[in-house]
Amino acid sequence: MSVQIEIAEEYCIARLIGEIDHHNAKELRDAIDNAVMTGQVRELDLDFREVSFMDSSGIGLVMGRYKLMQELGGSLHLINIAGHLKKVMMLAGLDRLAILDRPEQRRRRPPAEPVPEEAPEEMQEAGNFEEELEEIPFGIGGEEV
Amino acid sequence: MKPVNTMKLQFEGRSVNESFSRTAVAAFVAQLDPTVEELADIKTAVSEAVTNCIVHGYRDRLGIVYISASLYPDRRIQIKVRDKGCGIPDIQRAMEPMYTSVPEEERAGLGFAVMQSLMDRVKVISKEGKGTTVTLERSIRCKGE
Repeated sequence: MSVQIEIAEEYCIARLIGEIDHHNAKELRDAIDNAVMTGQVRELDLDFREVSFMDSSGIGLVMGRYKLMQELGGSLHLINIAGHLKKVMMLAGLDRLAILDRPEQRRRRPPAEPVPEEAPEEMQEAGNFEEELEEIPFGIGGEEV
Repeated sequence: MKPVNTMKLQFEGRSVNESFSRTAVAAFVAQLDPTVEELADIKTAVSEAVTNCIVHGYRDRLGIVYISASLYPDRRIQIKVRDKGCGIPDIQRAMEPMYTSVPEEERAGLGFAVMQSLMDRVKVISKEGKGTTVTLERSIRCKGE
């Protein structure tokens, strides 16, 4: 299990790779939280594309990061959730937190220039993700990081 | 009904063995030619049960986890996961979704809920100070049915 973390401004994406269980959840948690705190991240994406297995330890990991981002006044989104992972997340009710996936256009790209103060760009938490977004192709602006 | 094949496994309750044990059980079940989804369900349920032994049963010590699995002619698999740990004082409560006796570990408290969702049958026998046995049952569909 490993995690690749990229930070651009207040946006952070953590790409999880491998299997998430009780054994390695703490390591992931520490790596992500460290990045969020030191990078002053307010928008966190967890990418599950390369996750081959997850049990309820992964749910604990997600719920813990959800709480953390709430406390920081930020947001959390989960992307590339498919098959077995989706099943486990749905039965844990994570879909009710409206953090699973989201349309590409809502993503805030790391700004090339300083963002004007009057553009806070509130994240919309509503919407039926089931309909809008199976397998959204994904890429962030800061790919060269 | 007599099983057509059985196996037994025992290992130290170290968290690194969570991955080993669910993979070993999956390899045994593979002879029934399960679907990817069925295999993922079984791996997840076994992972939950074994994690419970390690996190709860042997909370403050290293103990041995015992797994036995039987395949029956009707394509049913029965898996028993046993520890000789502290036991569960109140099984009903332990099985409630979101209940966890170790909130500081960031556990979701969904272990039993996940097992019950993914298996056809989950049985828990526990005695305080003696240990806990979780029995998981699942039928593997015949492909093409």
